[in-house]
Amino acid sequence: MLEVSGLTKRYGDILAVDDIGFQLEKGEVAAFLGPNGAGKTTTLRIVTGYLPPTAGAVLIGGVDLRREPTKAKRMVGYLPEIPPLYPEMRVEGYLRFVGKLKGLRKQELEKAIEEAIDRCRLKDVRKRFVYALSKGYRQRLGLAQAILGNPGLLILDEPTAGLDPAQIVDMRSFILELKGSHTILLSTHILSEAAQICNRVLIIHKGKLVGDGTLEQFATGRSLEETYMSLVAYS
Amino acid sequence: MRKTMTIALKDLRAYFVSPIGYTVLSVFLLLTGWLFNGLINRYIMITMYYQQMGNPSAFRDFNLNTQILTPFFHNMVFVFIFIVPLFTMRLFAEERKMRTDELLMTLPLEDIHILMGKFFAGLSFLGIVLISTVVFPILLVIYGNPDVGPIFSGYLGVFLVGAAFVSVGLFASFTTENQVVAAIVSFVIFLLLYLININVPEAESSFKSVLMYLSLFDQMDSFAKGLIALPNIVYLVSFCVLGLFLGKIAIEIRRWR
Repeated sequence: MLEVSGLTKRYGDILAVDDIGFQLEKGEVAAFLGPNGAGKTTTLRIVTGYLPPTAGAVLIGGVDLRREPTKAKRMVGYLPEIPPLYPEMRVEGYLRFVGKLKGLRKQELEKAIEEAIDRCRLKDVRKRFVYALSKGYRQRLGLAQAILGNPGLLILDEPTAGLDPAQIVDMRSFILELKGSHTILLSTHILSEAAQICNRVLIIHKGKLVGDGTLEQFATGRSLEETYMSLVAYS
Repeated sequence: MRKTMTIALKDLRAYFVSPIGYTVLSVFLLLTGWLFNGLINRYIMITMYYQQMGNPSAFRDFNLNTQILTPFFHNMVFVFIFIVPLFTMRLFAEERKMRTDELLMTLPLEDIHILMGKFFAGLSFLGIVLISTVVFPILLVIYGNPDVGPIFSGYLGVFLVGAAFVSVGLFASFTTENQVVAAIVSFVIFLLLYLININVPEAESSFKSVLMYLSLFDQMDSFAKGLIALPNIVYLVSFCVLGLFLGKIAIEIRRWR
């Protein structure tokens, strides 16, 4: 579903992402782990087509993101670190706006909106203005926007950051619901979270991919925590 | 086209859910109304003066069209210099500030959808601003008998000049995430275009005509006189196209940097 090869991003002299390559099969849920500033967000931004890579290629469902960006983007739902919301819109209106831009039409659009509201439990606030939403609802609305129209690949940048414990549990169960039907790549700082909801772990450190494997591979003998620390130990 | 309209509607609506739309609208009406009032007063004064002199030949070429409407359209364009940056500055700079550009740039959209959507939003707002000023010429028609044709051609001219301004303002908004910077950049460009013919008397003769032609405001003259001339339309439309083209480049640079 997602194939990344030789991905490199250079900002002047700084190498933010250094020759990263991995593949995600359909239905896989992968956690992108790494310390702050490791290049997680940059990588996700490249994969979603927000930033161009300095070198390397991204294939989404076999479509080259660089050559046919619109076609590739149709298969991606993206929740950035900061949910990209318009404060002056209502929840429903916002989803309708995004749905239209995703190319959904009339009944298809209304159905997709209902489904997203339902799945992200936004029913109580559907008529509310975005500026009046709490952080948790904003995050959920961001997620609703991403899953709108059922794209095959979901890219979630720290979906649980800044949520309260109950909301974190909520978000996790939500991701578990999508497991199997969607391919998901999410970044997080919380190792236990990765262990709970993901079957694949990618560890990035100083722009380099230092660990890539299934959860079982990582868990043999040592805990994910120990593996992580040994890989990204500050030298 | 559907995606373009979706973006255009969203941005047009954004003008009216925040104070910005109403502020710009009322400031524009206040300024043009003030200037219109000045023109009326001047007209009355000169009429009285001529009447006292009892010199009917002085009234040749002296009518509501030449004395009020033509300067009125010029005044509008002059006010655009200050007003257009205020409503074009937010078009894309705000998306960047609010980080919603991350949404727009990762949705299955072409650059042209974003560019034209934003441009149409600006144009529609400009249209609303202009429609709200129709009250002034209507007053003239009610209380006087101006030639109506030049009112329409004048508005067409003002709209085209405004469209050219919007395209420049949009380009400025694409280049920065700071709305104030976007406003200043477009303001300076408009001011330069306004002042571009100031050096005409000293210029070389060949250069002279170029400077005259480049001045957006001279392009207004024939429209205000009731003449819809092709060269003027071509100039203003190509000005828009140039502005949009620069905007397109600005998006591409953002995409590939």
